[in-house]
Amino acid sequence: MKNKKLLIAGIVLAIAVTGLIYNTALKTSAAYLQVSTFKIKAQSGELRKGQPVKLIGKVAKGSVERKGSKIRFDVVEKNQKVAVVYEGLVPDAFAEGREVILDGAYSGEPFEATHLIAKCPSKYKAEDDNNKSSKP
Amino acid sequence: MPLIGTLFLWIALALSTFAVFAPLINKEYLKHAYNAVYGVAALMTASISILAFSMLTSDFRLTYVAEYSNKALGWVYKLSAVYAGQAGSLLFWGWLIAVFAAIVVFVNRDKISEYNSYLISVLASVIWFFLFLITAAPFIYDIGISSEMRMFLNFILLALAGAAIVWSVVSAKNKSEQGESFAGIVYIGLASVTMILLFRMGVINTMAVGTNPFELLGTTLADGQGLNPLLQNYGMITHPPTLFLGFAGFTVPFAYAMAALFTKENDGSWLKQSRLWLIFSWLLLGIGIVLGAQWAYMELGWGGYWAWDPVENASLMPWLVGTALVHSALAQRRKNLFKIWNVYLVTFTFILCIFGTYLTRSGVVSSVHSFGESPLGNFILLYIVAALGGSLVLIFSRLKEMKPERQIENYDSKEFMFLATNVLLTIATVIVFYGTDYPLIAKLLKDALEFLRIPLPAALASIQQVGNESVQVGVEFYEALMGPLTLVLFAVMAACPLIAWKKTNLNKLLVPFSYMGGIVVIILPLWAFGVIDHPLATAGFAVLAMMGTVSGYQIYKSVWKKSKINWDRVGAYIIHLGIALTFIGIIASSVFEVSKNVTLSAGETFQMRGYTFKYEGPETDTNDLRQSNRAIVTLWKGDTQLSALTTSLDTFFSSRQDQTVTEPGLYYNLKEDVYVAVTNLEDGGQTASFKMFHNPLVIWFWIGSIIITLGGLVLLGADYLPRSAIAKTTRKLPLEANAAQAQISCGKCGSLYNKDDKFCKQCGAKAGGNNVCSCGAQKKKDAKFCVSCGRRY
Repeated sequence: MKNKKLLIAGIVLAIAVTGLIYNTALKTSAAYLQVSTFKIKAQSGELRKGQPVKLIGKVAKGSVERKGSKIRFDVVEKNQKVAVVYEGLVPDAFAEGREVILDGAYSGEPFEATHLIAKCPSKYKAEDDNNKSSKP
Repeated sequence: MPLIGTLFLWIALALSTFAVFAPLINKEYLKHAYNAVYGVAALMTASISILAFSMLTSDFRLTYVAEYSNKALGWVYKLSAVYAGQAGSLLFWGWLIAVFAAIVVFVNRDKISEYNSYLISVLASVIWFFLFLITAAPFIYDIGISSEMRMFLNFILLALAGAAIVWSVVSAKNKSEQGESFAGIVYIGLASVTMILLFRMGVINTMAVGTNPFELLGTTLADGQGLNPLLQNYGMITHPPTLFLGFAGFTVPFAYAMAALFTKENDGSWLKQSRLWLIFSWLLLGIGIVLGAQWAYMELGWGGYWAWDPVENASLMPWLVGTALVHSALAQRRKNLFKIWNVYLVTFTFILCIFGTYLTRSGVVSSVHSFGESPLGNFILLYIVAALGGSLVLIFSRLKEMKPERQIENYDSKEFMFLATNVLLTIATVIVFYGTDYPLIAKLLKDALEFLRIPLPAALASIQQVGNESVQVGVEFYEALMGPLTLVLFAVMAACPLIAWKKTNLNKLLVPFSYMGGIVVIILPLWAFGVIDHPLATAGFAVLAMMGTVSGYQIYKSVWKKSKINWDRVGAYIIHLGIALTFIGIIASSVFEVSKNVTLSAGETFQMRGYTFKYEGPETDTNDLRQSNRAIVTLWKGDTQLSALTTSLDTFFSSRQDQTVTEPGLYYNLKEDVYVAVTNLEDGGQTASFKMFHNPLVIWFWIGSIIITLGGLVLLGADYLPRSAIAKTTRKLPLEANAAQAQISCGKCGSLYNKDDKFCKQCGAKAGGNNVCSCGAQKKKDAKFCVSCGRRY
């Protein structure tokens, strides 16, 4: 077999695949918004209704309310808070004071999350507040 | 005791340093290096035993024990706490490599050669790295890399990568195999991107996290903090060790390959020597991934059996490259193809294993698995750069020696199919890599585009730095790309067995081609007219059905139709069959899953997809460890009760921060899984909220995985299985004789080929023509009857 042909086919394939990956990533990726940024963007009208949003923040202490399979809580950051509603399975790692990542389409407040990921920076280690404060 | 553990590890570090350098200085020292490796393995075995003993006896003088264990924990979980944390898992991994190295030494104990010197040196260097992380690294945490230093290293790496690309282009021009040089370019490109990414994000300054599991707390606590209840699951006992076995195992083929490169051994003997290691590691890594999937399936909030989490991806990447390696290694052993490609693949498999641990331990990418940010990442990073850079430079310097003797001649050949498999698996790895590292890549792209003054796409423009995460691809990214890719891969897997080495009679491909064409012709209009919703999934089922059937037929043919059983072949096709079943489960459950949130009072019912759920009421069970608040749900189909499912919210007492663990209730059969998870209990349990799932065919994921494991075991035991047991009886059957009229078995490999063919379609040997009896035995000159089956010629 002509190796030149193979080489050309390879280059064409590589370019096609790169383009495809690049584009798909652009289409399916969403930027994280901190609570404060989310507030600013919501107020300035930069967030359109239905736009996919990843909201990130800490679950406010004492804000968690459950009713049936629905859960309501506030996420806070820099003294700003956003109310969140979510329905369905709450991950076991979810707790007050923990960081959560919320996926959903923007529709004003409360933020209706379709996905809830509970994150713990040192999840399988003891909660240790010194650990966080010592971070630069 | 703990001091002894630490001491052992330091001695092991010294011994492994000796084992790295001694054989390189003088071949005479190799014997001593062998003994040093035994010593390292013994010392590490001793220290991990001490750690396990400390866990079992709840020795809370140790920080690590106090952090991951407590008195109430069952002994199995106490043992599994050994690898639950950062420090212990490093020791566990390093220990496995040391034990494997000792086995390699034992196998090679009588051989004193340059090749073995390098082999031992490379193996010892990997062990050294792990020991260094555990023992010495904590003392030099403060030495971080300055940003100027990082820039400088970045520049050097870029220059190296550039030179390497130019080098391979030049060598491609110099009439070496262009295809393979091209592979080189692709891999070097990948490598340079990796390194740049790593250096951009690599240095994180956080407080030191202990990596020595024998670190002392200073005081003795009355009780430890206990293992996170989420980890108190049988998955914790099986998933991490198998994964680590796989990760550690890939070190051995890597060391063999490097030794071959150093000594310019160019006969591919490294592949033969490391074949079992390769299959073993590939198999264990795969089993580890599946066990993790099984665990995540039963552990709520981890997003089902596969969530494309960065750390899940980190274990998938070496497995994908490893899969490519297993295949092209076969092609090299049989046909002397892909020589250069194989050393790239083995290098990348090994590096990706280490890269996985970098992702988990550095906090670079956020994940549900992460151990938390730690400065350990810096060291792992440096090691990756050194190992990857070193291996690649070594490969380039040997490109000339590795000029392939053979080339792929035809598109309709098995050789080309292997090439296609390699390319597809490489693309799959690139996709996973790109998605996993997208938070880093996106920033890099943004900078690059800004620098080049190209207008930014909206998705990149909105990136803002939020901690270490800025932007992430959704699951849709993987689904959109991996779906079609796996479909093509399965089509190749379905067609490959029908395609011969070298060249195939195109008529034979009529069946698969018309089948594949038929799928498209049938599915497209069905989709257009709205009969089916998921054309890709339907096509997937059709191709998998073909692939499964072809694989099954190949197994049948190899075992019952040949005079000699080629167990390698049988094992491989059992694995393919398993893959087909696994993916039927994966496609069905990911595309056709239904889930509903409902709130029911005791006695109320709910219907979903023909099943009726009845909430019977609450139940409470309390023991030393936890209070289990249960909801009992009975499952009905029509008037028949199928099962009573218990799902519970377990609150663990002794643990940190009122940890609740949700236990789902599961009803399954070969057709579907019905899965109920309680999400909330109110009014003392009189009202309960549930999430109900209906997941079709998901059990085939697990069944397929078991079949893959069986196939892997057959591959591992291929040399020990009887070669001719079944053929002896079938050979005398008249039916077989008739079937053999049109087909002759090849004198070389025993497979059947058509009478008119000039070459055997399996091994490519020249047809025996009149020299071989239809039973496959060689004809004696001038004999009238076959010596083997007695048939008249």
